[in-house]
Formats: sequence, structure tokens, C-alpha cells
Amino acid sequence: MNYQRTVQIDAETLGAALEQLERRHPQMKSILRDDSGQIRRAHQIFVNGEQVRKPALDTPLKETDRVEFLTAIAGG
Amino acid sequence: MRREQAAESVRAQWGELLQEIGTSAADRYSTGAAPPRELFAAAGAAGLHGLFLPAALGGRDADAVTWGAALEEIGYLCEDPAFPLLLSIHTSIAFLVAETGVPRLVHSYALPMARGQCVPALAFSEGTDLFSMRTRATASGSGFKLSGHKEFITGGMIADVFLTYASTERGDLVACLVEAADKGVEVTATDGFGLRTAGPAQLTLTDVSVPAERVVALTDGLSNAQTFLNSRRLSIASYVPGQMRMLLERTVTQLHKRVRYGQSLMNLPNVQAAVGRMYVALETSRAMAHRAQEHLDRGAAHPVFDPVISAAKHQVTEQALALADEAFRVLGGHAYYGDPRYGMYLRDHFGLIAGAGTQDLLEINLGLCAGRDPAPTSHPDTHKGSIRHDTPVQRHPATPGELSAHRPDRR
Repeated sequence: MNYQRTVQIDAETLGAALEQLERRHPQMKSILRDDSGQIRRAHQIFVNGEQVRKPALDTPLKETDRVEFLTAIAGG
Repeated sequence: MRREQAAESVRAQWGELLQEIGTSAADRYSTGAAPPRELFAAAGAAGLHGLFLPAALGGRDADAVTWGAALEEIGYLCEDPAFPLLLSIHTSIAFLVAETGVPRLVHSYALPMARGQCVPALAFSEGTDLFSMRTRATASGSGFKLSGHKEFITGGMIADVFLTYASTERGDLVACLVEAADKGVEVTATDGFGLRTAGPAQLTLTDVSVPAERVVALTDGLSNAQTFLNSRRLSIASYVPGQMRMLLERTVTQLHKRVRYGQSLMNLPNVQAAVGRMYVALETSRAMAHRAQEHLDRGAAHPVFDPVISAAKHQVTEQALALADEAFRVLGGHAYYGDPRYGMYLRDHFGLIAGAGTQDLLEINLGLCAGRDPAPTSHPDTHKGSIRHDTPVQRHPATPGELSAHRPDRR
């Protein structure tokens, strides 16, 4: 993403937002999702600052919602 | 009280066995030999592994507080510094395999691991970032063929089975069990700086066939591994304070025996101050470990990356090294030349800097967690909207940042 940290997207659900992001930046897909298309559990997702404990692709979004990804991973 | 009971239970039930395991530690350290496999089998038969495991595996289903207190006591009693590390790795892998709920995996692997009859090791690190693993899992029949190389495998030299992570053709990570006896598996010893009684090894895989029945995680092995490492951090935070306690007591005993200017070293104020700092290091470590254990028992811990658990591992590691530093300063030549256990302790605990997530990566991750823009409800005066978050860890340039989502305008 060329170190771009914020993007504006029009979408009604989390899944639709991800699809748009992946269309713009195809390399994001394998980072965000596993082979089955689900969001990797390693990503902690926040909507307007509140953590979504079990994020689902059909999580609804409304105008001006802000979705954040916190990816805290480490080696062994 | 629960902690005291758990510690007493360890002393009463397994004290002699832990002493036996520790007896040969100094000799084995010089030759780089892990505890004999028979001792793990004996520990399993005596129920030591089971203390940490669910009832479904014949375990006692102990909560994190009990489990942590027991690990601390094992760290204190066993003079082989690698034993609590290996024991906790074995039980963590047994637990992870059992959690799949796949009967064949549970019966063939998790149960024997829980009895100490099958020794597992983690084959994860290979000197790359996590999105660039070079070990490949190529679909083959209903399973995979694995090829690649894994470095830094703690306990690899005595392992029967390796929990191995490999990249699939589609860029995901799969987790599966590779047996040491599988065709194409080569295990070689690593002569490292420390953890010499942990049997460190490297693993080379050449077209190793892994049947579908041995797949632990078919997708999202990345998150699977992170969940495992999250639990590893709590294990480290739990057993290391026991080893710190052992070193503090050993140091104080020596300081009472050694005489300078007609009095024991322990009477000198500068030495008392050093011992005071060692005590602070120990007790702050225990406090962090206890808080993390209670946090997990309350169900408040994040399963993949929990900040409280990670902070505990970080703090315990730093304090364990600080404690050793103080011991070397007050004991001088005795610690350096006179008693090999100080060197063993120092070298092994340096390994914690890299273990289950390097200290600096944990700092980055903790900074990300603690530095998040607070939720709107967190504080009424919080300024919103201008803070940007850095999410990359492993310094991966393509790691996602933040989306702002807009519902299409329907007016």
C-alpha cells in the first residue's frame, strides 16, 4: 500500500470493504484472509475504536465508520 | 492459597523426580545433551504433564493460576534449566493438538504427548518474516508434501514429532505433524549459546509426505501459531520466576559464606542493596506473571495476542537478566568460575529475548495496543479523528492499516 495507512471506501459491510481494498491492493488479500476467505484471526479489528471480538464478513458498516486492523504477530 | 497448594503438590508428588532430572544437568550442559527421553516418560507416567492438560487427555484441567504456580515451583526445584521449558512446550503442543477435536489426532498424538510417551517440538522459525516462509506444503493426494528448513527448534533432538508450519501454494500457512521417522526428515544438532540441555536442533524436510490425518490447521496457520505463541509467553512468565528465586537463594547463601574485612559479604550495605534489587526483580516478575494468569482465568485474555500476557513475558525476561547481572556483580569470580549454574542460568535466559516473540517485537506490538486511539466512550475529552495507527509488525510494508468505510449515499 506504499505505506498508505488510511483509505476511504464505500461499503455496507466489512466483507464488502475488504473486497474493495483487495481490488485496489491485490497483495492485501493473502495477508488479510486465509485460504477459505475468512479474515485471519491474527488481525484484531476495531470499528470506531471498539474491538469486534468475532469479526464477520457481514458485519454492517455505516457512513463514517472507521475500521482499524491491529496485527500483532511475532516469530517463535 | 491455591498457589501454595499447587507448589506443595509439586514438591510432594514430583520433587524427587525433578531432583533426579536436575542432578545430571551440569554435566549434560557441558556436552549439550537434553534430559534423557526416559525422564520425560517417567514424568508423564507420574502425571506431571497431566497437571497442565484437560481432563479429556487424562489431565487435571488446572486453571492458569494453579498451572502457573506449579510451573514456578518446577522452575525452582529442577536444576536442569531447560526442563520446565521443554515440559511446557510438550504440554502446549498436546493441548493445541487436542483442541482440534479430531479423534485420530487426539488418540495418536495428543494422548501419547500427555503421557510423556511422544515428545513433540515446534518447527516454526526459519529466519524469515511470517509472510515469507520458505518451507513449502504442496498438495499431494489428500495431504501435502513438505520441503524446507526450520532453524532454532527447542527440544528438536529428542522430538518424535514436529508441529510444522509451511506455506501453501496459495500463500496460506498450514500446520501439520511431521514425524522424526518420516522419510525425508533430517534432524541435526544446533550448538547454540545457551539452552544446551534443551536439545536444540534444525530440521530439514525433503519431499516429506504428510497425510491429511496429520493436518492440525488446514488454513490460517499464521493465527494458529500466534495462538500457540501467546500461550508460550504465559508459560515463560510463569516458570522463570521459579528459576529467579532459585538463583537469588543460591546467591544469598554464598554471600553469607564469603568473608571480606572480617564479616560476611551479606553484611556490606552495597551487597544488601544488590540483593534488594534482585528481590524487587523477582517479586515484580511474580506479580506480572500472577496478573497474567488471573487475567486468563477471568476469560479476559485475547487468544491470539494478549497485551497483559506479552507484557508479563517481556518484564520477566528483562528482570531475569537483571537478576543474573546483580548476582555476577556481587559474587565476582565465584559466579563466573566457581559454579557453572550461574553461567547456565545467564545463557539460557538470554534465549528468552528471542523466545515466543522477540522483546523488541513485543514492544512494538504492545505500543500498538497501548497507543491505539481510545474508543469514543473511553474518555469524554479524547480528541478523535487525527491519530493514525501503525499496524505493521515484522515491519512488513504491506500489512494493513485502517479503513474508513462509508455506506453508499441513498438519499
